[in-house]
Amino acid sequence: MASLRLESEMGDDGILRITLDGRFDVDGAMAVDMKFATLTGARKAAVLVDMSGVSFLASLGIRTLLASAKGAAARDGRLVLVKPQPLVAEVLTTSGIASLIPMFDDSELAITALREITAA
Amino acid sequence: MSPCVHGIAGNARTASLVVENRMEALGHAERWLDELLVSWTVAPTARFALALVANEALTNIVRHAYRDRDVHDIAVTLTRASDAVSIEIVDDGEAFDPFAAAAREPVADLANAPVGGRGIGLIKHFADSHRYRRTEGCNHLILSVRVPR
Repeated sequence: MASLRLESEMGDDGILRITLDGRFDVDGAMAVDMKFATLTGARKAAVLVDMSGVSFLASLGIRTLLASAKGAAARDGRLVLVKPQPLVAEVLTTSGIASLIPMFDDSELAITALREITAA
Repeated sequence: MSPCVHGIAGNARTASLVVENRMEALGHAERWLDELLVSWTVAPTARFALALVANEALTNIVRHAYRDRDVHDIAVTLTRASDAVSIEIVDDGEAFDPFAAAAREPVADLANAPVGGRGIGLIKHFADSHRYRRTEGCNHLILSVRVPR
């Protein structure tokens, strides 16, 4: 039973927007992990992950986000997180992820951060 | 609960679940926990913290506690007292006190950062108290989160 839904859309600006909705718990992470890896696996991927619909995040979800961010960066891309809910933001900060993956409350700032990738 | 019954039944409620040491089984534990906490009218912030610390503890046990490939049972007991909810997780895996290890140095760059190993820090932050003890071949993890009355 998938508790996390994933939708993705490649914009004309070259930014891949991934929107998550639900709980990024064990079931949620197992439901989206492979799709995440596939979507973010392209060279120079500019990925914006909309976290506004994510009501819960634990270690397995952190692993998925981190692995995707590392993979994107290793291929000259970048992954950023947008609008995490307060408790989810607290998980990201406490776990140190917020120092590794750029996190924004404002989509425009996130898009600006990704323009370096899409423009190059 | 009527005031007549409340004093007799006491302030504590308790429930237990046994789950197998497989990642696929943890989803069931997550749902059980959430439904129970909702039925106990635990506030959302406390529910989040309890779900998180349980998640971290169980994930660590499933991933690290066993050297064999056998099925092992993990017992999860939830107790609601008047001002806190506590979780006791008992497993028969390798003896391990997660709170005895020194905190890891955070790695500042994405390329070298490990994908795992963050669970214990999350437990320490989100649980209001945490305790480990070892008895008769079992690991006991007792975590507690304060809740409004």
